[in-house]
Amino acid sequence: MSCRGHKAVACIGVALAGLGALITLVGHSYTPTLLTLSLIMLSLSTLALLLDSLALLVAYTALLTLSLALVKLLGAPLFIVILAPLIPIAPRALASSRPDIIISGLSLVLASTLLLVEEVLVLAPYMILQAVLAVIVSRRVHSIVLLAALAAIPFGLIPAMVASLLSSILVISAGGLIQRVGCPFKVDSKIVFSGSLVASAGVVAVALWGWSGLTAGLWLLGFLLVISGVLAPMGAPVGARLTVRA
Amino acid sequence: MPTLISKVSAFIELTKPRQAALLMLTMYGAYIATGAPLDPVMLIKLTLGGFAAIGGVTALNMYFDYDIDSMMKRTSRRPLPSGRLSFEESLLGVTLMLILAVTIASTINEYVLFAFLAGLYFNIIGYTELTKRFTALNIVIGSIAGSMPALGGWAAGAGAITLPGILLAAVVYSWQPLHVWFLAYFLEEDYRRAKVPMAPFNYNVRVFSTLTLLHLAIMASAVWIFAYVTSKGYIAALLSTVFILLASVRVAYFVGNPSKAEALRIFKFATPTIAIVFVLVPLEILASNIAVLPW
Repeated sequence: MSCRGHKAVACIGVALAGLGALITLVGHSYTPTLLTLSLIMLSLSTLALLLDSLALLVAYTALLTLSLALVKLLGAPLFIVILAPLIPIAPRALASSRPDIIISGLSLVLASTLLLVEEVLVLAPYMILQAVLAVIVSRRVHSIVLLAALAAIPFGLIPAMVASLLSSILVISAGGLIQRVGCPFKVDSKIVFSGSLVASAGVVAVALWGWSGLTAGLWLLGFLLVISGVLAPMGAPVGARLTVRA
Repeated sequence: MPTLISKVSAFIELTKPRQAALLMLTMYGAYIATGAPLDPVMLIKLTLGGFAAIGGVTALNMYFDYDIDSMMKRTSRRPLPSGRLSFEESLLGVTLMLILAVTIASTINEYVLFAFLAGLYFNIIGYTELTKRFTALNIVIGSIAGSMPALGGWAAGAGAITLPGILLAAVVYSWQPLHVWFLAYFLEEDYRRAKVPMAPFNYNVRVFSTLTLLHLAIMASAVWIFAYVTSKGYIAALLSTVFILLASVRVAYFVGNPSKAEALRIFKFATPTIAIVFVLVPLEILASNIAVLPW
């Protein structure tokens, strides 16, 4: 089994590493921004995992970036950003009748909407880069990201260290594990649902009280739960688990 | 018919209160070690938030490890394998606890929030899902999660993650092989039955004992560097070094005379080895604060 979808999860580490480095370098090292952008990367990776298509992830990210650019540069209406990511996901989700894909896609749309409040344009090329990295994730790519993290050290030691640490562990463990033992994961739909619910609660909280550490924390908690749900150990026969297609 | 009380009681058992208490000791110890005032509101936040975070993550870990727990004699009577709690009930409790943890952590500061989320990440994704079932060195990753309460406690008191906090987290990190591997050696049949790889029986005695000694050396170094950097905690460093040396002697003896009884003795010796750091360092700092009071 190739477990291609699950390999996408390894990209989270890469995304987090580059993200930490980049945000530190551009001077946007305050927590809500970091958490928000981290969760965008988490959601993209999750979506790729659920859709089991890295090509779709690239298309998705490009579409999202283009939409953001349209809004920022040309003053296009906001709904473009909100609706655009639905275009590729809708037929797939409806055809497979998988609520987890729909929930994940909607979460991504909401997350991207929220991102508009941040200085996102500077990060758009970075998102494209991350999508490319996601496709060809390897130790070589990973080492480049580590170099970026190292370069960020003079600007902020902790984010760079943490980002590179997270990246090292996840990419090496997931990549090596899949290579060695095949595909040892299942999807635990209950946890995925629970995580999506928490992330949605984050949206409501943002709407009610604005953007803060709490709302960012809820978002990230939700997505971490989603990620843990899609990496449930194969040996644990819990509830309504779905087998991820290889 | 199970009552609500019995369900709540089963869920509390799922959070492993004794393990949570030990980790919370490291959190309180690190908080007091910053020299921050003993503000009752902060202590309540740390208690509630710390238990919600540690207990919630532990319970989620047990949710994923249900199949392993069912196979091991020691864990087969836990709430999920014994059927005292359903998966839905446990997941509801886990979600509520984790939300509570995020809420409280965010009222302290973003570094505490980060420590909590990093603990969740390393425990569930890094350890339980990516390494526990596949490598005998799983605990090397799992230990990072175990060190997060200390980091969070420091961040709560200092308002940031700084070098002394990282050193205290390193103390907890490097202590864990002593605690986990010798218990695993004692319970070898259980781990083999559940097919969970562990260093004590995937490697020979000499290799895993050497790895343990290496970790103990890191632990001693971290304690002394902490004392040097903060100019506090020298008594704790001295006493913990004595304990670490005693533990090392026991481990060295174990290499020549491996037995389950000796492994159990080393496991029991592990808890005081770390407790001494996280009790004495705060006591020393509290005492020095009292000494400078005007009366």
